[in-house]
Amino acid sequence: MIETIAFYIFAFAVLFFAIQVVRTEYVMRAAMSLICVLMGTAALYLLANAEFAAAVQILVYVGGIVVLIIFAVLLVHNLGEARVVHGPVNKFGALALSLALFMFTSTITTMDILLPSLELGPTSQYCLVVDTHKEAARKVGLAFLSHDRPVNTESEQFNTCVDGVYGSGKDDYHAWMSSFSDSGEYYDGWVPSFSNSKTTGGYVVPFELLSLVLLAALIGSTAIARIKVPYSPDSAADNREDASE
Amino acid sequence: MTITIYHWIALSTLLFSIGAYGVFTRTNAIMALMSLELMLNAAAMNFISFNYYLAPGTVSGQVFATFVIAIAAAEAAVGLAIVIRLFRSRGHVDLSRANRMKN
Amino acid sequence: MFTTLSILIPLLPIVGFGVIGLLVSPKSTKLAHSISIGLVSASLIIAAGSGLAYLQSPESDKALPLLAYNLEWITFSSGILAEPLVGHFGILLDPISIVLSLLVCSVSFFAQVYSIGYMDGHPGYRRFYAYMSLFTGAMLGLVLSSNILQTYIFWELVGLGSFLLISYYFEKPSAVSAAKKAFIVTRFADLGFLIGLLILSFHAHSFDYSVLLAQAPLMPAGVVALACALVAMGAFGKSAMFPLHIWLPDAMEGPTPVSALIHAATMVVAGVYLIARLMGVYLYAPYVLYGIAIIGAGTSLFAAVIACTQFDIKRVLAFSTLSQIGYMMLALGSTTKEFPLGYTASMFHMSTHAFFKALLFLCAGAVIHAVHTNDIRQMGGLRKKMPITHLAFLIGTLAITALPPYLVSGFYSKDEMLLALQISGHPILLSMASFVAMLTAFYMFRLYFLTFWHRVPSPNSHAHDPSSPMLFSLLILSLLSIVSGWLPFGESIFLPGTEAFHGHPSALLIIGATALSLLGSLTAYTFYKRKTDYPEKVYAALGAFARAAKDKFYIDEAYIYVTKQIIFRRFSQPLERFDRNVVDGAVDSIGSATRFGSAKTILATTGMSQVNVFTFALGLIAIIGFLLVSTR
Repeated sequence: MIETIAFYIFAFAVLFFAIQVVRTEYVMRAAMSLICVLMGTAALYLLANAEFAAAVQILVYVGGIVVLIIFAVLLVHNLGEARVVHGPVNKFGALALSLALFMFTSTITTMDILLPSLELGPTSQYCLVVDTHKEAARKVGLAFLSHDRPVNTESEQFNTCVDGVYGSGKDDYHAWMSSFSDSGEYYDGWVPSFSNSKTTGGYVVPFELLSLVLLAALIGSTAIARIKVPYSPDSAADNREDASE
Repeated sequence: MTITIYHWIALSTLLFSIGAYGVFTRTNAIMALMSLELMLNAAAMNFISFNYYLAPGTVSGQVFATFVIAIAAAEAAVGLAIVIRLFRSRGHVDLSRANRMKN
Repeated sequence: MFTTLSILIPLLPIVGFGVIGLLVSPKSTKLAHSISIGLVSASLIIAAGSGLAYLQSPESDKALPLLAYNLEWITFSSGILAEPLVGHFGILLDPISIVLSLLVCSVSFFAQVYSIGYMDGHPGYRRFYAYMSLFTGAMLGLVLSSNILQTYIFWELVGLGSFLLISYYFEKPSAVSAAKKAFIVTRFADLGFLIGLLILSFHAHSFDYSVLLAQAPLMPAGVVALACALVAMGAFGKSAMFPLHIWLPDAMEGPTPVSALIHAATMVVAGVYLIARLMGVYLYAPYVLYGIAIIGAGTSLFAAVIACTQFDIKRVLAFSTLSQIGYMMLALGSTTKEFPLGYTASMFHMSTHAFFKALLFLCAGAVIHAVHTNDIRQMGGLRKKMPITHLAFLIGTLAITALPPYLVSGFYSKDEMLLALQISGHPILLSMASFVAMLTAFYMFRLYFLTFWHRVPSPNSHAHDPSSPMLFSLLILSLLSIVSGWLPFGESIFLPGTEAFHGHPSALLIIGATALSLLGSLTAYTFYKRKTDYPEKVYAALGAFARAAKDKFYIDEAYIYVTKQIIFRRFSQPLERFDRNVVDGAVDSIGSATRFGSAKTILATTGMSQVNVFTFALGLIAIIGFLLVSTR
């Protein structure tokens, strides 16, 4: 019950501040609204048992990106431009296109093209919610640091009550999930897909690559944004000293 | 009424569309980049929701959302560097006046 | 042996054309004329040998053809044909083909020898000999062809040779337009020839002459008549019968040896030859033959009248040629199964005419070369300055008018034709032919007297007899003009399947013909030997008729009227406007539409990246929508 209300509150807050981001004339106001949007999203993540993601969202998105944006805003000192100049794209066209985008995308994501219909999600009595909180951070850590570790077939998460989901309980859920795999087996951590792998997790490679990407972004942005200082030697004596090194 | 995956999908799609509207319409480059961040945020939200509803025992969705956020950070950094460079050379960051690639 | 070599008769000069045209440089004049004359002589020798070989073969008793070669080169098979039509390249040896091939080779030989002197110094010397070789080879191919398709192919090649040679002085616009006129008129006539030959070969299931002649009685009569009439249309074009005669007088723009070879002796008789070759088929279309006779007689009279009024030496000879070919057509047209003498007489006259007309043209060329003008009003008294030319011209004139002494060839051939007309029973045509004989005598002697008598030459005119190559040709041709009448044509040349004619013209006929010729020549003598005013009086007396005759009866003007006012204005110009506006406009509109489209499309490249993003999203929506619709 409370989750429902919380969801709706945070959802509307996100939407409200998002509209403010795109419609306000003032840059700082837009930046602040962006912070609110991202905070609201983080709260929603918490509602979805994604604590790690929520933390990362606040740390990186709000604490990093929006700060960066504010830095850039301060460096680009034409805040006085309050008048919204006529943009390149017609506003009503953009509105129509956005609505169309919304319609189409939601239609596609809710259509049963690839997977059979997913009617219901877990109910509030889905005790798995409680269980998956156990060692959540450990799980994420293992996921980031491991490469293709095998699943444990002992699904300890299902030991507690699992009812109201796709029938009467864990077995039904188990059966339902098994129906997606080719061999009919369902393992803990197994994601419905068309492959029949008995392994799970393992994102160490993308993790390392991500660090490379961030390095590239770092260097790239400094290279793009730096001011070239002309080379000016101090004195001839210093040069000779340096040259002998 | 319980919250189903469709609520989440509707929310993320709506957020995406709002971000798209902002990207199309905003004349200030920094505000366009902010709208772009909204869109990326919507994508991450999608991952989280799929993780919660379709693969509850796993952490794959959170991991992916983390990646999305990291990439968004990188892209925001580079984008803002470009904006600063643009400002230095032109004196403004008005995207409607940045049409030297015309024809 | 000679029959196997006979395939070289047409091929050697054509190869000569290729060699001279491509490999000989324009400066090596001696090499050019040596190759050309050498190859023609070789063809002449082989033709003579083939003729002898033919005479010794059994077919010659009944004048049947001997097929020396028949090489298949193309096959047409389609749904409507009962059996495939095969096109051959063949050499047919037959009395008339041998005679005409010998004729072509010899006249070409003499004309080319003559040209060594006449064309000396011209910058296009090598080109001239190349074209002469081409023409000679093509004419020989036409004459020796074994099937009608091959005849058509070489017919067109001969037309090409004629075009190239008439427009030899291509810097003169009059020469170029004369060549165009010749080509267009003959080409138009060839339409009839083509359709006629297609009809004949469709019904006979073959192109070969032997099959056509055998199948002719089996074809429906209307079909035969139609096909023969159409083929005759083609023959009329090439042989310049009324009303397709307009090109021949203008063809005199070419050099005189060309006029001698092509437009007197060989190409213009191609039409006569074609009808003669198909005589076996024409015998089954008697009305068509009658029509040919009438047109022949009419052209003959028409041309003779005009020739009396012309003052250009070559033009008089051109109209004379028209008249004589009319005679040949008349004789052919009078051939029937019972009285096939017309065939023999026509071929006989064709051979003698070739020699004396070529002689006359070459003499005219010598005169023109000496006095540098074509106008006979500016000539006179040349008989003292150019004695040999004068003698040769006199022999030619006597030959054409068939006067006593009855040694010259023209007498024999002309009287044979008159005999043919008499015995096949065409009194009106006979009287027309006799009247034309009188006119012939008149205008030829008029020409003779005005050129060689009539005036005392001025002391400082430097006319003299031509150089030795030219003289050589003149002398030999004079000899041939005399001698060729003595040959026993009728013994070997007669309609295949019949027998040789062993009759003689009656004394009445001979005396009557001679009297008419004498009448004509004496009239010319009194009018023109010395300067008198009789010509002007007669001219004035005949009034409008004489003026019309001088202007060639306005046929050219009628043609120009029809083409310009009717065809050009009513058909060609609207079609041209349609082509320019609609067809070209449609094509241009594609280009201008593209430019318009691109001008409008380029407005989309604003260079603003947000517009690009917008368009990208728009495209995305489109694709998603398409996918949704297609999977629904």
